[in-house]
Amino acid sequence: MSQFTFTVIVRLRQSILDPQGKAVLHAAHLLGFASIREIRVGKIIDITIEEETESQAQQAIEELARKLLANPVIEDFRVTKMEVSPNVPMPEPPQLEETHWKAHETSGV
Amino acid sequence: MNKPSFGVVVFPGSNCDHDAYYVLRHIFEKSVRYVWHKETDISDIDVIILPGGFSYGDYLRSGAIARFSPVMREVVRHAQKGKLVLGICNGFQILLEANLLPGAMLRNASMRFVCKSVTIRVDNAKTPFTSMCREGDVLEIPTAHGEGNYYADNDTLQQLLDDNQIVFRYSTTNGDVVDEANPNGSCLNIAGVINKKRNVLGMMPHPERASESLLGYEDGKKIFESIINYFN
Repeated sequence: MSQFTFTVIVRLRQSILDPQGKAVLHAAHLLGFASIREIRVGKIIDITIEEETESQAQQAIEELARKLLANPVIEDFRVTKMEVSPNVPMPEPPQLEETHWKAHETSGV
Repeated sequence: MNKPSFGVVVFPGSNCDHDAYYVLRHIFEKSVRYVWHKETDISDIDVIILPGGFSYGDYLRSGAIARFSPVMREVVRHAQKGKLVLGICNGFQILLEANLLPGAMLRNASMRFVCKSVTIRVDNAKTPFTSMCREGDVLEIPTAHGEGNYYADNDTLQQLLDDNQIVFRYSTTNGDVVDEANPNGSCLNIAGVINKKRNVLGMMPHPERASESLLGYEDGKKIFESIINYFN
């Protein structure tokens, strides 16, 4: 048995309106990011699995995505194999520039 | 005696289960019991109600995880036998995820959680759930949801229209189905749909919150009266 790690990205189909993305876009504009044209919000699901082979592992994850992780009526998904374990700590987030916070405070969001 | 017997499914996170139980037991004086989501025998029940709430915290998608609860296998069998299933709000979302009804729910187009009384027009009164209404009747019933924006592709919508499966549509108090009366962006103002066999209904508004004059509304009673009448 070997251990594999996959990432499943679930997105609303392009033809479907994304109210959540619209709300984030609105906030981005309030923050002063006037050049941003579109934001769509999806989901990232990291999965660790033990299987004999990578292709068996991939098959199982794709079946799971079809049955549970994505709703085919409104969503598409993509499965990709990750080379590093998701348990590796994420790098420190970059410091936000001062100006962004100022915009945030004055907008009263 | 006391037929039909009702069962109200309780998922972790259901929060309208007691309201439904209360209305059936204390207003209609019917036999009703809670059905824990891990139960695997519901053969004693004539009508299964999937109540509103936030099963599994709405994680992943509303209804997506509840749909795989052990009891859902029995609910599907119950439906296949032609017995009645009523899904309210989160219950409707679960029925969609379980493919017992066509379509899916998106977040409300308004980007807001909608918690207010709405008016819905009865578009099909020839179902076990609406027989005490007349076609065109307008019911005032409270609604409370963040993901009630009913979506289906055009082919599916056409099929729903052709087969008269749209039971309720958001409308004005006069019964006009217009955009202004649509609280969440649902395709065709759909507030409730039924399956082809006419035994599984899903609806976003809460009839169990509109069944006692003390609470200000009684229009929801017509749904339960219709169900009870179906067994007489």
